[in-house]
Amino acid sequence: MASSLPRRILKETQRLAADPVPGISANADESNARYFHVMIAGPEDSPFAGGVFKLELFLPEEYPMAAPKVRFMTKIYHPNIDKLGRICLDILKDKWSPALQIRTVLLSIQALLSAPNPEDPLATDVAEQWKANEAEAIKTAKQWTLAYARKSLKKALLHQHCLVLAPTKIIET
Amino acid sequence: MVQEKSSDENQPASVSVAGPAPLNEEEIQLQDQQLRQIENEQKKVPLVGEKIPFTTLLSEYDVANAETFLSKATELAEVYEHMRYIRGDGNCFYRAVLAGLFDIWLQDRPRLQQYIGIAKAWPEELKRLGFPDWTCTDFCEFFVDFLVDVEAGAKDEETLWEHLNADSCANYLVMFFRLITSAFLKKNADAYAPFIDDGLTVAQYCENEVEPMWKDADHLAVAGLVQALDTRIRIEYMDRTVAPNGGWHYDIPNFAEGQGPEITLLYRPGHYDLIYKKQE
Repeated sequence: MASSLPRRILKETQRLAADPVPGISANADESNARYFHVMIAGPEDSPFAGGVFKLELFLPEEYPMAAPKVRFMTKIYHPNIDKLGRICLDILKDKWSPALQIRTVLLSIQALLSAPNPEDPLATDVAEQWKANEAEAIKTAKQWTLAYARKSLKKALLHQHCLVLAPTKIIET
Repeated sequence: MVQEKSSDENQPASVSVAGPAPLNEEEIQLQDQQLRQIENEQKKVPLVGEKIPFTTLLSEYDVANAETFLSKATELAEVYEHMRYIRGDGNCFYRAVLAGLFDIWLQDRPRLQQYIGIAKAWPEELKRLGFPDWTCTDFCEFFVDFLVDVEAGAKDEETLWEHLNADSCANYLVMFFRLITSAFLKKNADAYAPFIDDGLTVAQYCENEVEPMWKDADHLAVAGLVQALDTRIRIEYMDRTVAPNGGWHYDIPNFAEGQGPEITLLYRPGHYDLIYKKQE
């Protein structure tokens, strides 16, 4: 049987559209309902504030029994995200439960931007820097945000992505 | 005491960043490769096997390598007539119970109706305990709908066993078991907290060990599911320990002598299969 889209995925997609998470947009690809274009606004209280980060999220065949696959497309200086954009987050790995959903994953990634954890790194060089000189690391993270995540923001605005941002000053670019 | 928690799907999961020391690219690839090998081995066995003679088990052992196992298996063969192999994918305990209940549901309509009642009560309970709404209740609905179909005779017996071997359907049913196991333990957190190591709370334990798929059930999960379902199970232990009469079993919960178990499982280190007693 051709794999039709499970009810669960339809329901999640509808809910994400009807009740978006502040600061996050997730849109299913027109040609592939399992592939989502995601934008996450850098949280206000973080070095990523003012940037918008592009991610891709894919629901594998086994979803929701297996976790969604998520990756940052925008370069980011963060101890738990490596240069390929892979994210070190337990709910994407062995703590994934079918009781969770795309929304939980996106919220958790947003939370990870607010609270980088250099003790449990994926990008070891970034983590070393973060531990050795946090002020310097934060400065670098801000520079990277300016250099790479602003472009995403401009693009997002240009393409009229319906990015639902928290009421912040990001729009004033 | 029950801890009330507001159910809010707009909360991130309680997360920490995963893993011990980071692996390098090569190590990750090797690990992935090994995991795939294990997975492929597992998939050679159906999720739930056909009902076969218990004596099949004897052929797994020989005197030279596994004398204790062979003698225990021989002893058990006096009492047990059939068995079903269950795939060792971390869900074997939950799946063995599911298959055991299947036999009951197909033969005992009043008991099936009781189970429908039990299953229908869980969604409200899950919400009350703070489980994320709709993703969790979705599994409950799936389970109830499935049982209602069985009751209505909407699917013949063969089709039902096929469903139990089809990933998509079977794993949804297993997930319902995981959720109610977790819910039962959380609901009775005070009683179970002393059994959990590593300074974890009952809720954290459930999020790590019970709610994710593919994680083996330990004795807490076993106790949780059996009570959440209001059933009685016996577990026959087969390992290398020397035990009275060559083996021993546990009854969960401790039920009265005259009351037999509804389901009997065979436990070998790290794995459960379903076994059936000889008719007296």
